[in-house]
Amino acid sequence: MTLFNFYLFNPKGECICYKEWRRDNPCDIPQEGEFQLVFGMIHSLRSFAQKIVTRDGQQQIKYFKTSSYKMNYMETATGLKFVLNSDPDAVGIPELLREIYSIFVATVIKNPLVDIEAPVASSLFHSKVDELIRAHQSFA
Amino acid sequence: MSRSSKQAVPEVKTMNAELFTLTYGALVVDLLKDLESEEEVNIQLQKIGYNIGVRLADDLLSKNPHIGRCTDSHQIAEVISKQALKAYLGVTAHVSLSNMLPNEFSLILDSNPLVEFVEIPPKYSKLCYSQIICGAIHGALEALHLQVNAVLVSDVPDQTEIRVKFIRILREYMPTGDED
Repeated sequence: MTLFNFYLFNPKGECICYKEWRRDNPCDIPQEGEFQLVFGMIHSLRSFAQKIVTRDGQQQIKYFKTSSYKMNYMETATGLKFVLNSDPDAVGIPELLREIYSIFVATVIKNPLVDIEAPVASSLFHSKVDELIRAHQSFA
Repeated sequence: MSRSSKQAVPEVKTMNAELFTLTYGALVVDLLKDLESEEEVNIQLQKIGYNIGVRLADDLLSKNPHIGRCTDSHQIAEVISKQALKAYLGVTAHVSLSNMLPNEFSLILDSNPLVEFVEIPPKYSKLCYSQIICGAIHGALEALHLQVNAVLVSDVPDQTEIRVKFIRILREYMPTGDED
């Protein structure tokens, strides 16, 4: 049971934070390309979900699961997108994503000197998120 | 910033309300001295409010995960009046829809901590003292991809009333790909 990696996209679609704790397969495309790929996939998934829906109301993507990982997703009304790849049996991830959101708000959003759309430079944010992930029950 | 393993209830830090009122008053007076024109001061207060509002949106949403997406202006008015104003100014407002077009609503604040000791002298009659609240509403709703116009209809000595009008929904960005 483990947590693999984490992406945070700003409302413009740029990846402002990428964290990795375990990656067995190195990626063969450059990192910038990988971020665009992940974002493009999320964007398409969202519009697909909205088009195919049989009931009224806003659709929220929660996760997709494959045999070796589960991609958890959370989106805020302000356009921030949180993506966390975890073990398929991991539990408690939605709460974990909400906690990462509150850490982001406390360290980045509330700091008036920081540009909220730029890549996260706050070392406090990075260390707090790391600490949170390592202490989580789903982290090996 | 310590957290227990369960979702921690955020501590509410209290501060002296008078200090808050006096600080805001000092800001307005300083702007008046520097800019000398009430219209300029109103514009600056709107800008300051806008910058605050853009960041407040995320803060409110992260502390209240049960606030879902709003599908119409009435819901938005309810969230602003009952939750946002309560969380940040400690007051509630009531929503008035009378004499309004469908995309407009009015927020009438029950009380306004910013104008606690304030009486505007006639020479500053064009000053919109609580303009910062309009700016904050404008900024916060823009962070939520909604373009609105927030106008101060009446202020001290009467009740503070802000009219919010919806302009349009702002489109979501797509990052430029290699093909472009």
